[in-house]
Amino acid sequence: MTWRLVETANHVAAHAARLSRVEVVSAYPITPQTQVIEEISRFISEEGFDCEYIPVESEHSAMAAMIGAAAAGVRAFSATASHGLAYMHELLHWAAGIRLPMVMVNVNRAMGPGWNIWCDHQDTMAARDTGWIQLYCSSHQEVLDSTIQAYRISEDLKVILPVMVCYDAFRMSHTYMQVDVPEQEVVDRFLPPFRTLWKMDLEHPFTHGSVIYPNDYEEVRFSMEQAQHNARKVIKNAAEEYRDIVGEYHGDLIDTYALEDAEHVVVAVGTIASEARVAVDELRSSGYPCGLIRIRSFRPFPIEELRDLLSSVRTVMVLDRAVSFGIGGIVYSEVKAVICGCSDASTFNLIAGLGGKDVAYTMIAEYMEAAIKGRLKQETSWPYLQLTDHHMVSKRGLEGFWKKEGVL
Amino acid sequence: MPQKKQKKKEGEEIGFVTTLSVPLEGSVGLTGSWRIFIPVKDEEKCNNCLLCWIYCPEACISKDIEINFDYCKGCGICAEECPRKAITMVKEEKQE
Repeated sequence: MTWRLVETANHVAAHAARLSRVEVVSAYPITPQTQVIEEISRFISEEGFDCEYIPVESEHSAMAAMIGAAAAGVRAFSATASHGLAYMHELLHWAAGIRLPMVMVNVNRAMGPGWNIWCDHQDTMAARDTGWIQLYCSSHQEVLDSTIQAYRISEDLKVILPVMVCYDAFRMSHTYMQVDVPEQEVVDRFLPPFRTLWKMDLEHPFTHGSVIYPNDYEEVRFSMEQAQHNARKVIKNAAEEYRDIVGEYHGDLIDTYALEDAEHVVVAVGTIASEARVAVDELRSSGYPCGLIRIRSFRPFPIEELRDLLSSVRTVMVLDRAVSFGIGGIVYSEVKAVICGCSDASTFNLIAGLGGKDVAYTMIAEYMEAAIKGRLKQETSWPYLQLTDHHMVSKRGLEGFWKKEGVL
Repeated sequence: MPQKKQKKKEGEEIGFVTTLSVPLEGSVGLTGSWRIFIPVKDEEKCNNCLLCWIYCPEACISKDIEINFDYCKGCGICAEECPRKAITMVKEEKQE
């Protein structure tokens, strides 16, 4: 039923697109996503994969071509990262707003400047309000399975929204892991041919997304919010049905670890959650009843799950790999907002791993222990921050200029 | 026009609220009132090549090259495209 593959997450994502029988791929290469689309074009040129590859001139056009393909009634796929995602931002709103099902893989990479190709979650978190469903993976197997499931979710008639499957740059995109790949006929049993609620039709011409006046606009936005809400159930059902047919399961909106008797809980997204798992083991061996929640679906946000699981715990530590400048950790703000009034837990926030900085389980364990013992402030901390003279690059580089201009 | 297929009941109904406009004559009113210059056809020069019919963005030139002045905005594309210069744009005197 399955065959075993040792591959990078990028190539695994390409396999997922192939198994989902995508009909159009439009993409523009960007580090660290490039191998996804290289592998897809190789499938087309060497392995007879029946798919139209559109080599567009920019990410803005990549998303425009995706919109065109989905509006013409075919299954579309793309992959991007970081600045590529930012460049398509306007069209992300379009794809979701006119309700087109499609799936895009985003390899989470830091935003410039400073120019940085390594991992953090700033790119997709900045696109969280576009109406796209966002699933974050923490293993190669999950990339494969989530991408296939994403088409089911996206094309569910109660949802009809685009889905973004996100995974960490380099930590996943370029590392090799073992993956069990299901046979095409098995995937076909799980994923029916493309279906949607509308497509362009010569016999019934219309303009979609045209002018709408203040009296009706809110209803359109509310409908998107309702679709996100519907997706909560659909994501769960897809995960469960996938387990029944294919055999793999990675949690639904959240994935949990050692939560049963946990009083202190780490909440994380992506590969940091795998690191935190080790920290949880470490803390448990020191006698602290700790557990872990990994948020898989960031949009829709797992509101009920978090309220339910965090209502009676004492400590909540949220690990963020992105910043909303002016408030702090993004996931932290949201977790705190969601459990407000339902939980008396002390809440803590670590911002770590920006721009690919290594995050060690030892740090997570150390800060968790400090939080449990009341030695950490209930606010956002940057555990790896070390502003030294070495980091004052601007001062070193600009001193001469500042003197000349009278700044100093 | 907004399509409202959904009922209040959450999570059960299929469909979504969106904005669709279906092509319909005069759906945005009498756009001819926007006109400043009016196309005037010279019957002698016209050889019925129909380029004006093809190019008119408002589809208000018929195949008999009759211009529907209810919707002609006076954009002048027909005059620009006419290879025989059979259409000229003339400042229109507005009737009060």
